Amino acid sequence: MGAFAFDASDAWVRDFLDASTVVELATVSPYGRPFVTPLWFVTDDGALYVTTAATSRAARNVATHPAVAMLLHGDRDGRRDRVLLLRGSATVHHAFPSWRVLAKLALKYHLSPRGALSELQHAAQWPLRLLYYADARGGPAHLRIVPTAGEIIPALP
Amino acid sequence: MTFVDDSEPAIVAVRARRDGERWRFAAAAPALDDREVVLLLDDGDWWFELRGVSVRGVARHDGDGWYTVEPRRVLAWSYGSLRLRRV
Repeated sequence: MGAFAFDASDAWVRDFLDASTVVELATVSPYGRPFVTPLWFVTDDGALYVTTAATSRAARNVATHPAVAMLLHGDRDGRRDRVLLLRGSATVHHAFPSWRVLAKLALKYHLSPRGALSELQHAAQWPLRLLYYADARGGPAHLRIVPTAGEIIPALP
Repeated sequence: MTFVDDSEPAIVAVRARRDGERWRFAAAAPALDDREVVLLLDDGDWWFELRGVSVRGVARHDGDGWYTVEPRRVLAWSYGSLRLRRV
């Protein structure tokens, strides 16, 4: 499969997104400089959602330059030979995402069997995580990313 | 690995290695010599397992298909290593 117009209803694309733990999100700063950050995400109604701080680099970059590029690895299926490259545009929303998106995030990352086990194993560190998030300035935000095109490329050159 | 291509963000999968203090990568990408890049190596599925290194710098072509990143800023994180430090 080469380059294709993104269609969230395509079963193969949906499976690849579902099997990916992290999206590596590339953005451009207001000064035209590259930036990339790995983020948790879920899909909802054809878009990708990530939570972030309103003052995060990714949020500030998207606010001035909505174009984004993303890599997803399909790692939960054990895929390592190919990655999914997506291009699209993103918008910043200065609030938590919808309850439906929050529920999807919780189910994918905190309540899945392996996720819940990891949470329990690190229960003593939960207060530190709360302090970490409390230190974020600008309040909660999320990015809504709408992919428009995709491409399957080899995982390694 | 990320760079800016025609004012748009571009990201490609690369083969990366660290040779001492040198961060190197091989990529099937346009010529990147003298261009600013960000090399990201990240790992982990669950919150307390998330860790990574981000190397921002200028790509220098080594002549063998590999590039060396002349680092400007290196950022590393490991959420499982969070510690409380009073400042």
